Amino acid sequence: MKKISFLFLVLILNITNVFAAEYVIEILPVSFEPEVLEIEVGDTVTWHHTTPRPHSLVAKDGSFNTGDAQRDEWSFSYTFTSANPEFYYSSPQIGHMNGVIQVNDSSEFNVNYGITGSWYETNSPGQGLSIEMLADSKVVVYWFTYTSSSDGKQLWLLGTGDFDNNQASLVFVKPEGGRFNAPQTVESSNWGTGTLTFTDCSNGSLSYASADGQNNGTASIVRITDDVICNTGGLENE
Amino acid sequence: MKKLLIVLCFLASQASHADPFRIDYGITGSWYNPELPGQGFSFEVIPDTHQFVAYWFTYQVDSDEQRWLFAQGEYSDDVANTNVFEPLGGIFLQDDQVTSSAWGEAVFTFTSCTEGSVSFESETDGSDTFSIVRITDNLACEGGDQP
Repeated sequence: MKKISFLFLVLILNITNVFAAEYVIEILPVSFEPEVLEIEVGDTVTWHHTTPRPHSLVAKDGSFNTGDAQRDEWSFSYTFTSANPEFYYSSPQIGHMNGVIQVNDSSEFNVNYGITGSWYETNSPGQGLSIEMLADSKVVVYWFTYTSSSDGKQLWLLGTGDFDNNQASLVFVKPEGGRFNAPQTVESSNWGTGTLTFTDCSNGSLSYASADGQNNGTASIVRITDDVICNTGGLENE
Repeated sequence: MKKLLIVLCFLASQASHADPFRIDYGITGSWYNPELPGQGFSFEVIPDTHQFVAYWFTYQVDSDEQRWLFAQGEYSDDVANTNVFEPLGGIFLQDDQVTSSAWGEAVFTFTSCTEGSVSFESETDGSDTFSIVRITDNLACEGGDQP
């Protein structure tokens, strides 16, 4: 990191992330909506009841049981603290009124130096990320893409951040003002933030939010180039 | 005769020390020309296929707008010979038709894990040769011994 001057500014990142999400399942007279839900460990699900027909909720593995059936307005919340590919629950008052939640734990994957390389979103060929893993869990990301307008102009962003297990918070800057192969002062402006997450050596996602509010979303990314050392655990001294 | 032998031995020893640096996986990473801060390269080396990929982050010739080029080719010993393309026509994270037109050629030569040079030739943007150094710390390069 000694030559970080190229990166124009030292970014001190607060990597305290609150990634836990909250979901709502509606308890309808004879079904749950949605009946199938996919969440992450740490997420909270709230079941919401509004109808006159009475129900209760029972988890198949005994995690919860709301007791006597209740009608009208009530809700019940539960935070999932462990992974479970098929968490079943039901309303015993109605036969076959079941729901299933897939609880994933994507933090099980720990990134290593081998993540370094070329990545892209399969839905948008011709643009992508060049990722370089650094010492001390730091990462630099070159995002080569285009502007949001239809003029086809190129855009490249420089992202830096720190990994915590499989996830890194990134700050993206947009360097401007240079000239091709000529010395001219370059200035970097803040573009926005991102979260880079990997589930294994060839799959991940980039959530992004531009400071101007024009670009927000999540892109699933896959590795373009062949993996060299990620699947074998990265560098020997990691 | 004895002098000649000494000279030959000296030359032979010099030759053995002049073996070229060998590009390895660890060349992968961020590089730039120290005289041109704010632009540079991200390299990726794939040893199995001897592929060399370079993303060139720079700016337009006649304006300060951003520009990036993509180079790909094969490497041998200390040299990577690449064709350079300029992808245009895309839209931010949309499935729009991107056209990669040929821009020119670039030769990347490395003398160590942290030093090298770039020679490029383009019909539109001329030619030049300049030195580059590694920006980020070298973590994996061993000069051809690994992997």
